Amino acid sequence: MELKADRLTKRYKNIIAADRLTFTLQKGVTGLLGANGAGKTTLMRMLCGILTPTEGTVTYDGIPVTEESYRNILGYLPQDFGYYPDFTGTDFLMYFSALKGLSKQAAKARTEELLRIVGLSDVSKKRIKSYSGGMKQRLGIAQALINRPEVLIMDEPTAGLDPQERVRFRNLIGELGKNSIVLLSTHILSDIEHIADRVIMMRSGQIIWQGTWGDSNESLESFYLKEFGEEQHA
Amino acid sequence: MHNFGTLLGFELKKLLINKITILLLVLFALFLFGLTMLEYTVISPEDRFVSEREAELEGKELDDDMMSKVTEEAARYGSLAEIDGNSLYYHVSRYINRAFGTYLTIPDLSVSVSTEDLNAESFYRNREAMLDYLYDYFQLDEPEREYWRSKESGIAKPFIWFANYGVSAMRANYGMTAALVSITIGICLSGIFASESRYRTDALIMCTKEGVKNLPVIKILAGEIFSLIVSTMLLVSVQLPHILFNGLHGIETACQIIVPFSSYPYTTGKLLLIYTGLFLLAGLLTGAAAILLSRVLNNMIASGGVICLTILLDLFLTLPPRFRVLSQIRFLTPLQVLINSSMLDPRLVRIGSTYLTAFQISAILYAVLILAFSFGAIALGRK
Repeated sequence: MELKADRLTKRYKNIIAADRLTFTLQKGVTGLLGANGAGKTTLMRMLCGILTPTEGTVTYDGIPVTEESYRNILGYLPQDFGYYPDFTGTDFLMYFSALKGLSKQAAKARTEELLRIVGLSDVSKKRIKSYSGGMKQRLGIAQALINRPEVLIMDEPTAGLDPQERVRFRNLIGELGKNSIVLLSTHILSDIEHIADRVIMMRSGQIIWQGTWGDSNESLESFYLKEFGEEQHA
Repeated sequence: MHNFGTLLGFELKKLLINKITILLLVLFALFLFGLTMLEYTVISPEDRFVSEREAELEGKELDDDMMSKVTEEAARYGSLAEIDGNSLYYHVSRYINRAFGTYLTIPDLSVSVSTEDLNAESFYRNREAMLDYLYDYFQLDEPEREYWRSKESGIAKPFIWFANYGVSAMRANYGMTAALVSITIGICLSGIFASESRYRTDALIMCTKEGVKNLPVIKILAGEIFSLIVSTMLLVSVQLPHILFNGLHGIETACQIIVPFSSYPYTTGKLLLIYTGLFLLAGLLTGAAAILLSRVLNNMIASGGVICLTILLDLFLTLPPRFRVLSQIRFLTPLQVLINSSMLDPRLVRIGSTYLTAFQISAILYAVLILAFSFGAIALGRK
């Protein structure tokens, strides 16, 4: 189980959003850190196969991520999670279950299970447009988990959740990392500290640091502030 | 393809639960149904039914005997054009007037209608003269004229008279209803692809197994089923009162009673069936065009706007028949083919040794375009 990015580059006219990024993700949670505009979302979209890199490759166990078989094991939660306002929570998960190839019976069981996990069972028949921001975010997390993904890419999954929910979902993501490759982008450093096995830090489209965070005695926050402080104060 | 039926159901649900869709469908259906009902109940109910008095003319031939009675009536009223609704021969006299081209809006057309020599022979001779005039007007070549003359020779004469308000009005409804159907489909399907960007669900869909390869096909199928639903619903809304009040009275009679300048050897029933087929194809064509535009422009307002603008241009843009090829192509658009007129476009298209009528070539053209637009949308949808 290995997701490999090799000299991954994305250029938009004169802007380099991702610059020759090379890394390998394995089972476990990898935290992706970087200031806004560092290229995290661009990187995640390329890892999902929905954004074509200008140069470089992304493969999962040797298979390009543009292949249908990769999408079968992929779960993705984008930062600006989209939904159909007039669908109910159940409709939404049933629809994405069908898109992910689950049979109707399996979809129904998985939808009920996920709604229970994310605490939306009691509002499952209500339209999504009536959900609070936190409820929508929880539905997004449920959507990403439908097919029990081997590769789970989440862009700020705990944004909008209250502290209690955040801790619960952080632990859930940590559990998922035991059997899957999880890439987690967040600005909440404590989340990364608690559950990430590895950390990738990005600045201006480049990886400035990657490794196993537990090896360091320094707190992630002070390391982060040291690395990004100049940029953020500029 | 996994979950085909489930995904098709969800795509249809997305289209049908849209508030604009519901509003447009209900509004147009009520408008069309109400308009026809008003004609039967308030505006002029006396003209909508075959009265007991008029029933005695049903099934009578338009022969010398009928013409002489109309002539007598014209003398009593002053002229053929002055016969009014009180006369038993009012509708017959209006038909004769139509057959002389009185209501045609064609420049330089002057056929003097004299009731002095009105008899079956002069009536059918004048009608043939009118057909020749129209062949010149539409710049038909000799093989095309020959084609229509052979069709004309197969039409039984004298024509059989029947009160035709119901079937005439049913035919007249297709053009306006097609315009409303096109607007509804154009607006409602403009978001079939574009709404995924608007709702930011496109990225989620592209990360799914069925989302890239199969969903575009399912979306197109859902869009075309939706087009059929809209077309059928609005057509039923406008035609149902006619069927309720008049039944299908007259559908077995020659179509020349409702379209005097036609040499199609069809019954009115067959003509209505052809119109219905073309009407449904037109709905599917608008649907396919709207789906493709939704994918290409990826903007609901822009794609809906293009469809509505095209409909307006189609309604008002004219091209004289002297530009034979351009004019013939221009008048193959759904609204023009379905529009209410005393004449049906007699210009033919020759493919090898076979001549195709406007109805036939339109049906083929629409089917080809539906397939081309659909495959285009599938190809782009998978990118």
